[in-house]
Amino acid sequence: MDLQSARDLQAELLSIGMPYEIALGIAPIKGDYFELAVRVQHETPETVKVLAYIEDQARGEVDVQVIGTPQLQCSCEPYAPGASCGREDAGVGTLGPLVTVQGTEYVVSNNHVLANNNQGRPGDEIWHPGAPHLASADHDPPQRIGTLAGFIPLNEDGPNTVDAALCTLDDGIDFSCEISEVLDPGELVRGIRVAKRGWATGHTEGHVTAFEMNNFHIWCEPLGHVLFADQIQIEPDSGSLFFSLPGDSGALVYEPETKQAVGLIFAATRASLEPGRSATYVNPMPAVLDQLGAALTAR
Amino acid sequence: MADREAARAASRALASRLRSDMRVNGVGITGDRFGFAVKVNLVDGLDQPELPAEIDGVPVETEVVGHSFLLLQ
Repeated sequence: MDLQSARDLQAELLSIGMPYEIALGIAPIKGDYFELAVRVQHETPETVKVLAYIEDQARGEVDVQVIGTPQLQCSCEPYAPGASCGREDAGVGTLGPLVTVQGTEYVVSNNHVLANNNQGRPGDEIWHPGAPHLASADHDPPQRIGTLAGFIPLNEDGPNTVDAALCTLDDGIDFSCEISEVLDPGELVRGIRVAKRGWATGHTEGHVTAFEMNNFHIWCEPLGHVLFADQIQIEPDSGSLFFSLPGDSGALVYEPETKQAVGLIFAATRASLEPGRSATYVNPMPAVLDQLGAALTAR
Repeated sequence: MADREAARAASRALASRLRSDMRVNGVGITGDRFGFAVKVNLVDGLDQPELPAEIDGVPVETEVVGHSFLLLQ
C-alpha cells in the first residue's frame, strides 16, 4: 500500500484501541510500497485474535514481528520522578515526587505499585528499573533503590481519595525533584494544562477536563471493585491518543508553567470510539500529602 | 451556567443518587470562569441511566469513558 494508506489504516486501528502488547507503525518495504508494521510483545489468545483482525484489515500487507517485552529503561542516575520501579510480586510503575515525612525523605508512588494493593509489608524491596524477575541480560541489572515504608490502605468499602505509598531511599541513591509547591484545588478548572513524566510514555501533556470526581470505581486485585472520590480527570491534547498508559502509575502530574503539583496518576479509562478519548485519573496532591503526613521536597 | 459551589452541591447530590449504578464511572464537576456543570462519566453509551438535563439549575454533561484500569504494567 502507499504511505498515506498505511497511515490511514494505522490511525483507524489505533482509534478502536489495541491491546498494549501490540504496537503499530509504518514499514517501508521498497520504493513507494509500505506495509503496516505490527510489533507484538508476546502472543496471547487476545493478541492472536487482534493480529488476525489487523491482517484482514490490511489485506495481508503487514510486517509482523514478535519482539518480546520491551526492555525497561536502563538505570538512570540521579533518579527523578518518572523513573520506573517495581516489586517482586507486582508489575512496573513510576516513581513520583520526593517528600519529607517527620524529617525523613521518601519517594511517593501508588499503593498498587509499591504495596501491591495492601499486600505489601514495610521493608519489601523496591527495584529500578523493575523487579529482578523482569530483568534482561541485555541491559543493566535491576538495582534495589529502597524499601516500602508504608501505604495508605485501600478501603474496599470506599470511598478512597488516594492510592499512595512511600518508598525509602537506600544510601547512595540520589533522587532529584524540582517540584515543591502544590496547585490550590480551588484553581482547578477545565482546560488547565498539565504535564507528567512516566516510565511508559515519558513526557506527555494534556489538560484537566473534570475534578472532584466521585463514584469512580476500579478493579483492584485481590480487593475487588474499589470506589474513589474527589479524583481529577485529564485528557490528552488533540492529536494525541493518550496522556498515560500502563506503567505510568505513580507519575507526578504538574502544571508546566508554574511547576506546581496537581496530583498522582493511578488509573485510566479508554472508550474505543475515537482518538484522544482516553482519560487519566489522578489523586489530588493535597489529599496525597495530607494522608501521608508529607510535604513535597525539592532537591 | 452555575458557579463552582452550586455545581459541587449538584454533583454530590447526583453522585449519591447514582452510587450503586455501575454504568456510571464518575460524577464530578467541569467548567471554568464562564460557568460550571456536573459531569457524568458513562461506561457505555448504549446502556446508560436516565439523567436530568440539569439539577438545581446546574447543567449536566455526559461523556462515555469506558471501563477503568490501574496503570500498572
